[in-house]
Amino acid sequence: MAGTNDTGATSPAPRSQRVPLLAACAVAGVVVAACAVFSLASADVLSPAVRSAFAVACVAALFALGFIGLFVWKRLPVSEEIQRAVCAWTPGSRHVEVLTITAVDDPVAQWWNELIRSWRDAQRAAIQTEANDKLQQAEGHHGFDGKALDLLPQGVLLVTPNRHVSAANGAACRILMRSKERLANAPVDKVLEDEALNELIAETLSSPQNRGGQTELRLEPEEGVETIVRVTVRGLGEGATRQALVVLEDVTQQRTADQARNLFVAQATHELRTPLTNIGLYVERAIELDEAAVAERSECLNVINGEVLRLARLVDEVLSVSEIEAGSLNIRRDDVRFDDLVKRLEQDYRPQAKAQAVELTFDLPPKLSVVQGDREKVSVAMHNLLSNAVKYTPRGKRVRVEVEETDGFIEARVSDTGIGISGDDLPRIFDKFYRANDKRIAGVTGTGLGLSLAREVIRLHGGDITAESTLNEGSTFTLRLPVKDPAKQTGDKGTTETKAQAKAA
Amino acid sequence: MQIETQRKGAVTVIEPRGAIIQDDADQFGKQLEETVRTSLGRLLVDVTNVPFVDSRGLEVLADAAAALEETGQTLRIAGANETLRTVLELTELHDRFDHYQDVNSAVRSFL
Repeated sequence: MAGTNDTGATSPAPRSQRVPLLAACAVAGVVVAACAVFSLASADVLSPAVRSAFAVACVAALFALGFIGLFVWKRLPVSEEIQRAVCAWTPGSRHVEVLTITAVDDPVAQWWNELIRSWRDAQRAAIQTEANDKLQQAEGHHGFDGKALDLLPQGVLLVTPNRHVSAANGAACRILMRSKERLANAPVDKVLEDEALNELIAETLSSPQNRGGQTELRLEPEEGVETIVRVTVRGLGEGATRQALVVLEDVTQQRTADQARNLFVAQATHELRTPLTNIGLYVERAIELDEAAVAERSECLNVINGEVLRLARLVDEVLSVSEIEAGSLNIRRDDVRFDDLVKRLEQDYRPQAKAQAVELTFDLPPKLSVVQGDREKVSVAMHNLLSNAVKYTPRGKRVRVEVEETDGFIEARVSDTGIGISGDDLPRIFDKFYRANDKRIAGVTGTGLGLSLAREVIRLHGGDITAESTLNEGSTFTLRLPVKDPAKQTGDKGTTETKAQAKAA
Repeated sequence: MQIETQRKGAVTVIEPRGAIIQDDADQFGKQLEETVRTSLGRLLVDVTNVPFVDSRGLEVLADAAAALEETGQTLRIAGANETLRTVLELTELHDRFDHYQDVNSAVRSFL
């Protein structure tokens, strides 16, 4: 309190020393003034009227000085207390209470104390404001308006009681294809145009007991692809300030994968059931046949054998495709003589083409480089291309296989003048189990895996297979295989590698 | 440089073929930016056939990664070769991307 001095500043003289000094000065002043008045009043240089007026003025001035002196005398203790308090206060300190005067109680001390109280209140208000600002800043770092929610892959919207979007994170902007500015204050029914969802949000906002719910929403943007969004709605707070938190999760890929899996199972089941049915029927027939009907039994066994081979091929292809997808397909690195491989193809398919009255021609250059790759898998890829060409080419039409070496690639073109592929089907022919929607191929057996497998295998070798086709005019499939081994280019000396390794190379 | 775009399920795979350098980098950048927007972030870059990138190429990839980061996602890169991985590590951009050995495993990461 007053009287203490933490700063070491010089304190004023004690009151006991200053009072006599002031009293002596006052008495001396009055005596000197009285002498001056007396000397002037007794002088003859001025007229009596002027002297009287001067005397009255001097007396009035003396009274005024006396009143002022008395006033100062009475305020002296307060001013001394104020001085002590100010000396006791540390500049910059927030503890202004140290300036309060308690030793003296007069109006000046009260005004002073009131001033200090006002200062203290203002200081507290400033501290409170500063604290609030810091709190809001801290909340901003961890709250909805901050960057924290922008890190989430799920979209988050905050919906006000009057069903307007009050805040949105970055993922919500991505999923809804709108900027934060466009989402802010937008009516939620214009942002999420789904009646059931808006009812769910309204119900969640209206009742604190309503926990919200979950639904799925299909978004069809003007550009881009259809997106399936799982929307979860939850209520926040109670009463008039209750808000709804809407979480958006892009599940398009999950739904697409589910559909693909279901389609795969349905198609695989169908492909397995067809040969199994045939095997069952021909086994029954063979059992029922008389032992003497050797020829008919032999025919049954041939059919059964063919169907078993078909089943084995299907299982192999499914396994290969699944191995590719799992990244565990082994690719050997053999010396592949592509011309030998094509010559063997010619031997294999010549009889079939002849039987179907399809003109099959091969055009091979005199010399081809040796390719580093998996002989068996490259052979399977070429088999698939050629067997498709022969299968889907009607009688009297042509199939041509041309091979050439350009720019470090072996390029094999398998072209036909067959039924061709429509523009709608062409982009999907390399999809697993996809078969063109053409009535003319309904009777032709096929798993829908051949092209998918062939392209994947060739891509693992650093090459590719592309297709061009015109409906009713024919198709051309081009296989490009690099002559150099991609693995050896990067110093990989292994003889086998998985798909992942091949990709990395 | 050839740039191929294909769909794997709901995921868009953008596959540049050739080095991502100079004007090719700008061309690739425009296509990548458009794909980021229209695919709603369901995209990956198959760099299996990218032998190397220059600073403009790196900038294009970093810009796309930054655009996705703003929406809570990371740019997925599949099949980066040793050269590309080294460049990304030296420029300290490696951690800006999710790296996958091949396209299929990158596509599966969206599940």
